[in-house]
Amino acid sequence: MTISPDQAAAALKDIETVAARSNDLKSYAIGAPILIMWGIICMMGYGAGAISPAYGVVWFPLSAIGAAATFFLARRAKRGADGRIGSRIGWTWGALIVFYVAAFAVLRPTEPNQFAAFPALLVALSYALMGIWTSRRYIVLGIAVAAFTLVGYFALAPFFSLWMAVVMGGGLVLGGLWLKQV
Amino acid sequence: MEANEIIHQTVRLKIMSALNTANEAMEFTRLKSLSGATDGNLGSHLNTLEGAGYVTVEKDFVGKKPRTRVTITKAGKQAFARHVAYLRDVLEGASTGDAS
Repeated sequence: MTISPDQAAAALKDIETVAARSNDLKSYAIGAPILIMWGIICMMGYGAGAISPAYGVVWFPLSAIGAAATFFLARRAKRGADGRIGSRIGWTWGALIVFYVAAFAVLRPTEPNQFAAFPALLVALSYALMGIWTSRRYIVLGIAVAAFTLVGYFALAPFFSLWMAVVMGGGLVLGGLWLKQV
Repeated sequence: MEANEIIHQTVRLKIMSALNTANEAMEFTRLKSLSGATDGNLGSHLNTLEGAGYVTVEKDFVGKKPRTRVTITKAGKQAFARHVAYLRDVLEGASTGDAS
């Protein structure tokens, strides 16, 4: 069997394209359950805040549960061949939580809406960065989370927690289902 | 070095690339999406690759839903690596004027 240079180039291009898409799908399969879980946590946390700002303290146990579950889901992926991506996702979330606590300690926000908006913007940034460096769908998710957060913060301040519970929480769940659809 | 006629076919090349990258069992539906093949076409190519010892096909049930999972074998990884090396050689030969 003889293969011409043009055929060889076309075959190598096919191999690269499929390999890149295979990596994307792998990343989405790991990210989807994590995204759905954080969507549910957002619904509960922001929902509690919408009932009364005093209930905002539920974020402490919710964040701890979310962080632990994220590490669990990432470690579960690590048992397969997805280890590199899985552990990266786990460490990324860990770094974000540490940054979130440190930034609040330094900046000391006073408004409840600031407490609510900041983690959402952080999540938006992390998804945008993941999208730039790995799989493109995360860019769309990052832009959507940032846009919903800013619209709610500036245009719907009195209903911000309720907005975030429905739009942000629901959006993350839908985003996770969207990642699963590929 | 020679071309691998079994692997070089377009759909089988995509299947082997996807499985080699994943390096773990891949579900039939995902493989179908990655290779762009129809159910019947993909099944036929998987039979060829399985016959050559390049992949293993496992069928089981998740609840009541049937599931087919495909995994690249060690021999499959080696054959794929050799074929990719051959393709690169052909390209390099062309660029240095050694193509024959």
